[in-house]
Amino acid sequence: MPATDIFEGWDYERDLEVGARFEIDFDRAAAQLGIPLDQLSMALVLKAGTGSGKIPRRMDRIQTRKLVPSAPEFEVRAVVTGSRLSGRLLLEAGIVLDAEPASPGALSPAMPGARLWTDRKDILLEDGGTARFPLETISFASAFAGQPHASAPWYVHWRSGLLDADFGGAVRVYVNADYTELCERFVAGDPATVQAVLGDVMSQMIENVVSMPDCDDALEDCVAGSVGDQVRNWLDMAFPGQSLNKIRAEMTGAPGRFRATIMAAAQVGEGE
Amino acid sequence: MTRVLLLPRLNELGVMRIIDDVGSEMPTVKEVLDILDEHSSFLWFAPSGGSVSAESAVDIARDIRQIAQRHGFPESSDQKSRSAFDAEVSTWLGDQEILSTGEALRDDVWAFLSSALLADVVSWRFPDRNLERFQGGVRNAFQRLWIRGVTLDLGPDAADRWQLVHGLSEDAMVQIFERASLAGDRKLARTIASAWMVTSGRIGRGRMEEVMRAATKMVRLRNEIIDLGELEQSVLTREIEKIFFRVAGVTDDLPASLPLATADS
Repeated sequence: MPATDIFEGWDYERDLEVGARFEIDFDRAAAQLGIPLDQLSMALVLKAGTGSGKIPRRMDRIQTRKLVPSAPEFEVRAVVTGSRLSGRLLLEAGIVLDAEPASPGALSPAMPGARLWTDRKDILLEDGGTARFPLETISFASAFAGQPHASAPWYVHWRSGLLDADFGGAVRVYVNADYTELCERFVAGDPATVQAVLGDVMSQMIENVVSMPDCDDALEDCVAGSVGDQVRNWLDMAFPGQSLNKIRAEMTGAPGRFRATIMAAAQVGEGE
Repeated sequence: MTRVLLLPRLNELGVMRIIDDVGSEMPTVKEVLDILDEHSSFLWFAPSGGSVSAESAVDIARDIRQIAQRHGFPESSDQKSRSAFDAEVSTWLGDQEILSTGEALRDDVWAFLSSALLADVVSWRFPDRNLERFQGGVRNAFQRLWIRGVTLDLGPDAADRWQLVHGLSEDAMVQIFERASLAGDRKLARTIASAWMVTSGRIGRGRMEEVMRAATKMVRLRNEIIDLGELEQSVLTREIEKIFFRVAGVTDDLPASLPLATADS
């Protein structure tokens, strides 16, 4: 059956058989890569990743197959051992250069292993792992009894300064289940409700990071899937093409417009 | 198929509750379990797919505590004893069959071990008691050691099976294991670790912090263009060593390093 975003009913005892069909246009690939067809050697690499975080904690190569022009259409199948999966299955199919061409073009990839094409499918397993935006609904009256934020509609749990930390592990949004109507709207994906919560998350984190004295360098060095990487993506969404200095000036000089700009950008993130 | 032993899991709120509620710097197991008794909703197991085995977690905690005792727990702790503790726990965890399943990749499993059963050991190992050492994740007190062990294990047939675990500095470990794009690919991670050893043998450990940071940045960039893990081991070894040597300013001929013999290579 076609892979869905969430695979219901999975547990460790269930191995998963995965498969994908491919059709390769060798003539077109050779032309686009600037490599003569008779020198073009490619391989398909199928990988399975698992574990929390935007980048899986473990990525295994489950099949490598040399591609040949005589079989432009083919299917690959492999079994992923269930007991080794954790929270999610990320399937990645990639085509790489398999051998150095004798006379590549000036801009052609030439080294074996050069990445030519990649596609990914992320499938949530069991309780969904933490590959999705990290959030949960919970009764604040019970979880935060006696604490000042016990009656807040939501709470973004995160600690500032850890830009290198994995976003899924360092950030968690709790929505107050005691606010029944809010909670129902949020779970149903009501656009205005999601925008309000996500916009608040984005505002908090962007303001904090932009206020850091050395955030320019810190953001540049952040790896994919980290807190810093997510903030950088949000900055690009809300303030495309603007320098951090300009964004910082907007934050201090026109805080209302700054916040509203971020809230508006949160609409784009419906899928998160 | 070996049945998966399901370990207790503690969610993030449970970790925070324990840290907030314990009164002492080095909480006892009883003190922590009493807190969890009152807040049992924080504690859970996978609903199916194996056999619930709380006693396995207790066994793991007992053995880690014994290792800690060999290195001065609970009385004394210095840099040297903490490093030796880390290395011994890494090799021990890396060799545990029970941790070869998906359970060991879960943050909440390590959160339970660290916050409930071994909170006093964590407080001894990390006297500043940062929350991230108790919560699951790449900085968890034991999860970070487990991933080092399973990734850098050269296999039972290797002449010096744990040479990478014992050889690398803490900074080098952090540079690899806090970057999922490197740590997730065992072959690549091991090759980087091996290149660190070779380079430090040439220029000394003193300069390696700066070299490692620059080299891992270049490896990450290179990995975006070339699927490094797909290279044949000897080619990969040479590629990574070239990067390290360039960064370190080593200009003589590259050594003919032998690829590491590993269980799955």
